[in-house]
Amino acid sequence: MSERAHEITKTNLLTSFATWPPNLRFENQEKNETVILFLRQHLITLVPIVVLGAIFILVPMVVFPIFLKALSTTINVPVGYVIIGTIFWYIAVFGMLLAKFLYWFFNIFIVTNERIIDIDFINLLYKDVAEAQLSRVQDISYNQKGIFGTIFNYGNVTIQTAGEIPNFEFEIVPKPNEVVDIVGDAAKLKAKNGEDGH
Amino acid sequence: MDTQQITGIGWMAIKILTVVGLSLYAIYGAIIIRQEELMSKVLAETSEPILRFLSIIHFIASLAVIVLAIILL
Repeated sequence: MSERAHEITKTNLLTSFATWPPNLRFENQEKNETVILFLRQHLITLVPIVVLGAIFILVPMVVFPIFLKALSTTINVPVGYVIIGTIFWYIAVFGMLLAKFLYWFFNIFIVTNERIIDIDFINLLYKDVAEAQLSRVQDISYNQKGIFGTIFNYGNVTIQTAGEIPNFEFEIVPKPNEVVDIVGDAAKLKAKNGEDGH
Repeated sequence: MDTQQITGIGWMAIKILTVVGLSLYAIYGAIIIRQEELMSKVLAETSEPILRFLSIIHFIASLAVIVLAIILL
């Protein structure tokens, strides 16, 4: 495996690409299993949420006065409703941003020295976990689309596996070229170890 | 029943609806905490307590706004 792939990266709240993260454990991790690569979607996927949040924060300052002025011709809204409405609006915006961030934070791709795992939370009641042994990896490819993909270095990585196991698609992940290298090296190493073991 | 009484009943109905709406939102706040708990079982990371703290703060704020609504409205 290349030296670059052996770089130890600690994860934090906004990590979307980490190699050999020491501070990370996942469900069903085996004792002898080490995380080689940890991925989330590129931070750029959070930009629309941040923009939306910024717009929503401005709403009580801009839209509320206009709305109240329009209402005042027919009905006089008590000040208590204005206060509660404004506070609730900010709590709801915070809640929406938090929920969106949680989905980003916990939708992850993990490559260990044994397998590839893709964990997706669709909602509270639905969790989708897909995994494949590294020995079943057949082909790895990536694509980078558009100006933003090239500028911010993100793309989609496709991992084809043998048998009936569905292919893995890591969408909008950072450094797709490095992901391909690391997964490829890990699969080769696993195959080599497997041959040596027999 | 005069107009003032009808207006009073109308505002009381709006107050009750507001409190019910805020209570439903507080349930959503509790669901976020539960969701975060379930998710953190799948991935244990050092920065995860920050998210738990934010989820709890959000839930407490959603409860506080109910109390405030009962007092102010």
